[in-house]
Amino acid sequence: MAAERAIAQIDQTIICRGCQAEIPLETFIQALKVCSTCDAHAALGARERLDLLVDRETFVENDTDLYSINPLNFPNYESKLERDTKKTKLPYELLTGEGEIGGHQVNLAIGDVGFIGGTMGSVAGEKLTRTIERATQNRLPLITVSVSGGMRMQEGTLALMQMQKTAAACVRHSEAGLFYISIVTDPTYGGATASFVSLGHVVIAEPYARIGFAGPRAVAGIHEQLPDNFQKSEFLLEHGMIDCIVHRHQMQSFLVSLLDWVN
Amino acid sequence: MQSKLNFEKPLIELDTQLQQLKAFAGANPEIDISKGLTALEENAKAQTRKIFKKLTRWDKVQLSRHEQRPQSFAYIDALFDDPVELHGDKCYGDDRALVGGLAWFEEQPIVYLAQQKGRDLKERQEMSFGYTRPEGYRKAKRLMKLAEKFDRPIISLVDTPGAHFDRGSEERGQSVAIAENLAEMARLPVPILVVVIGEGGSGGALAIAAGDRVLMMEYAIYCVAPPEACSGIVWKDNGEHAPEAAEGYKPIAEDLIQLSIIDGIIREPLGGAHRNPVQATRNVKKAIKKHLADLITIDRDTLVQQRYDRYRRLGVYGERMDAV
Ligand SMILES: [Zn+2]
Repeated sequence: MAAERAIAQIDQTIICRGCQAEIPLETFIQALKVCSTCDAHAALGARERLDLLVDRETFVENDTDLYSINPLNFPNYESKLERDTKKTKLPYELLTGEGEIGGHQVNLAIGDVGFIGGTMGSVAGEKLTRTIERATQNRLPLITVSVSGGMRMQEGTLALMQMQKTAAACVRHSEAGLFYISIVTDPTYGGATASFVSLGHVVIAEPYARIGFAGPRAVAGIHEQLPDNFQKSEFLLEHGMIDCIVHRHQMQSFLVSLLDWVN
Repeated sequence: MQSKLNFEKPLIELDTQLQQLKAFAGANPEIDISKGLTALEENAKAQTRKIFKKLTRWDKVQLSRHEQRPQSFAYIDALFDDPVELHGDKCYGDDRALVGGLAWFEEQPIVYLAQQKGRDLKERQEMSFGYTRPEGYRKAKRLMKLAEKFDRPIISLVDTPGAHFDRGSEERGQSVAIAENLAEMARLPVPILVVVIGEGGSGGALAIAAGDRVLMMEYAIYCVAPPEACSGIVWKDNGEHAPEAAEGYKPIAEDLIQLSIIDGIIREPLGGAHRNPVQATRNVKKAIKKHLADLITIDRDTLVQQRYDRYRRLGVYGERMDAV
């Protein structure tokens, strides 16, 4: 996560959010930010995720020129955008482009939770749609890595419409006979889950990722007790809502085997 | 009990005066009070116009949720002939918050989908106050497919605070149910005409609203989340900033037509639909008639392409020309 990148100095340790274990930062990073004690998968920035999945020096980024504005004149939206641009060193919330995974050419979209909670507004919607459309045009598989706080409140109903825009693009990609792998990471909620995320032909979650439609606070507000794994990957697998859970260390090779299968 | 919003109170008082005067006139036919009556009526109208001209977005949110606001029951009655409700998702249950079936609109056989919140406590409980569950969306999907099979247009009446957020809805795949409906509407080769009659709450509304034409009643709202939820997310509170949220994220018909998110506004009777439900349903009928007549002339491939383009265009962002 952005905060972790910011403190990336050699002789430092981090505290695992899962088990409170103290882990030397270098060990932590070598383990792809997975805790060696409890296996918790910490958040990755979009760039880190990219390095993890895509063959070295094959990635070409697209649509870097899009940025969020404040179309509805929502109070304090600009200052939040500015703050998170600085924090993530990304001018946008979604990294998109083309690259190779195990030699397979794919189109990719990777979210970053550091950008207004990874919420989805017009920019993410447009970049994702362009990526899906390019995949359709070039007859390539599509891979999305989601992390999302839902649709972006500050862009109102415009943000809501991104659900349909992206879902419709997924449908066309699928109707063209092309393959879509949706990877879901912690946390993914709201309109993202209820649109393109759930339309993957294969939906893969990282272990223990929080995934749902309703925000956890809303659900907790009407139920006294919820199962420990409520809205976690394991819960979704148990209820038949995702295809599989794949450990971060195996994710890249898992993708390669799926891509081998379709090609 | 007559429920009223704060800004309605002077109007309700004028109503009471009018009724008293009418009652007096009825009891005393020998006295001519027609002049007084007309004056009072004119005054009531002028007051209403004055108050409604100054309504804030938050006021309009209240109107969209007004307890007496006509719900889809009224529209199904007034718009359709011989409606046959079809129940259940053929999988788990029958959600009462989203109903649908077969009916005739004028001479045209159609499939209707309609969200409902309930008119009294018993109905509200039965309909979960309008919060739609996955079973509702799956029933809607089943009916969409039926519409496709028999080449019938779909008329969708939207009125929900949002998709249900209970444990069961999460367990039974609320996200997947909504996503699959969006996908279905993206490819469905029949006209889909949507009217937001009350609250168009988030993905819970969109799941039956991604149509060819989306119309909104004058005092309906269509939003990314209820203002209270927006307040919670943005201001990190318990909904206290809902009026600011409503002002900020622009959920009313006048806002959304400017953003091309909707295609038309259906005017409501003076004082809102609940002041004259008969007139409200008549206005909706007229609008549906006009748009449906348009849509059924478009060939199916063009229709689906135009629907794709309609949503493809939505979004406002900056594009740096100097980017490397
Ligand atoms: Zn740990």
